[in-house]
Amino acid sequence: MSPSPTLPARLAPAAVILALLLGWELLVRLFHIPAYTLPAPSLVASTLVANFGSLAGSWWVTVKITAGALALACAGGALIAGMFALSPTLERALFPVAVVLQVTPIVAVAPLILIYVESTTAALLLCAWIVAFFPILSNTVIGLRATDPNLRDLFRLYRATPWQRLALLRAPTALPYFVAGLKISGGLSLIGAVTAEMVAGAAGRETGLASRILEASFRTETPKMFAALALLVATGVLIFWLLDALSRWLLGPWHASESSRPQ
Amino acid sequence: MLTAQPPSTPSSAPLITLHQVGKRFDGGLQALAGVSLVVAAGEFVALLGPSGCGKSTVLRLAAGLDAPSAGTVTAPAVQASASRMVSHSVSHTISHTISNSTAFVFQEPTLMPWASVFDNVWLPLRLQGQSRATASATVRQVLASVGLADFDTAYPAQLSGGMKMRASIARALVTQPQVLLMDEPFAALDDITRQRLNTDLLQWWQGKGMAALFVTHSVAEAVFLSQRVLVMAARPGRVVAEVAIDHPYPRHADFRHSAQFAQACRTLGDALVLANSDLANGDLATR
Repeated sequence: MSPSPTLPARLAPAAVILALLLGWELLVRLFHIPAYTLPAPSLVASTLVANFGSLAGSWWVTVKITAGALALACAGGALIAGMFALSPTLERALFPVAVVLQVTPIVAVAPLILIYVESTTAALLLCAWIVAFFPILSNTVIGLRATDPNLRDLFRLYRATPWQRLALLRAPTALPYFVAGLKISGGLSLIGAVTAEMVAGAAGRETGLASRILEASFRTETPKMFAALALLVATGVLIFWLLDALSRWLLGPWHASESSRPQ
Repeated sequence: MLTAQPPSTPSSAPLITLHQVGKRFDGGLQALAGVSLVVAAGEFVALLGPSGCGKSTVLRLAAGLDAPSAGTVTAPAVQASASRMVSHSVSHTISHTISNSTAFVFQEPTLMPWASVFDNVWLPLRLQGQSRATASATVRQVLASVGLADFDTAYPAQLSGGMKMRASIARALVTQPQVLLMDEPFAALDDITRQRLNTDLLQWWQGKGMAALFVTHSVAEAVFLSQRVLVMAARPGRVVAEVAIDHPYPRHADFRHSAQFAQACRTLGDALVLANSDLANGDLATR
């Protein structure tokens, strides 16, 4: 266990962000940069407060798509990885398809998906899922294979069934890998959701933050664009924190990645 | 005391028998050639030899984890897997009872890092379908006997090397095996811990009727623990000598300081040198 950090060390990340914001504010004021080019943080903040009603509604739409895509990526990635683990033939047959999905730029496929899928929400979910599921799948597949050879022998000696081997040996071995994939997928599901929303455009009733950014950009309301962007960044950071806490909870007592982490 | 070969047959019924066993690995390496040995129920036998002489391969064959390329291996674990292959329906109950009978302790503790000490020791019973509640009394009793009664909720990472090995041995003992196979289990431990575990191991083994086959490259460890020491030579691995250690159990620390102990160590040391003198590189770290 490392000693708990001192107060200055604990405040360092906040201090850096505060310094950056202050520098930005000063830059805008000293050089009289117009708001339509670069709004000062204070203006972004007041715009955020003024437009909170419309922005919060859109934010909630984006959050729902992101969370839904991440949940589906978790379930899909882990489930497919588990199937691959039980059947190497299936893995050989299907893994290339997963790679194809992964390497296809989502911006390029999103218009097609929006044409083929009737419901916009479903189309957005699908787009975000395609971006988010691969890190979970790929990491979990590696983790399921990374079992200790001696433990494998032990399970053989005690005649464990394939199901017991998966549940009691391979899945726990894969857990840290899965969590590492999940941390990547958390950010990617937000990026996937916003990208798909961008392609879907500003039309429609229930639209997300990407639509607010597009709208504001048409009207050259740069402060509003920044306000929406600030919400997106905050959301991304929030997702990261939540997944980090989840990782600590799942791996904390036993895995080296958690016991040796800087506080 | 020192017989050239072949190994003599012990008095009680043989439990593990290797007859003219050869093992060649896929890469072409001849790990074993013409190995014959017998371990009887309740016996403590050590396999002594330099690194790379195929000691571990013998254990893996006896555990049914590998198949010989020549000769025959008869052991409870091997019979269980063979009968399983022959007929599933008829031998199901038989193989189930036999499957409890072989336990393996590796050179590393090989504990599951994500599971508590209790869960690690529970594993063999759990794989047989015993619930936590059913297995609890047995697991706790074994943990107490290896001195880990208060560490049931600890994770392996929180234990010292010696305690991890105790947990690993507890896991092996929890099924009350007929055969205990140990592959240099104390090689990574400091001398004091190692001697302590040697003494304790004899206590856990004694009076249980369990056959122990113990691989080591330490002459002193082999002498202290076993009734018979089989000396192996490398390239290819083979048994070249057998030395009986005629000292009654229980054996205590003072056995290490006896003239008989020193004599046996000398005999074995000489046998090792003789057995491996044909090696060009003189790879004889074992003393």
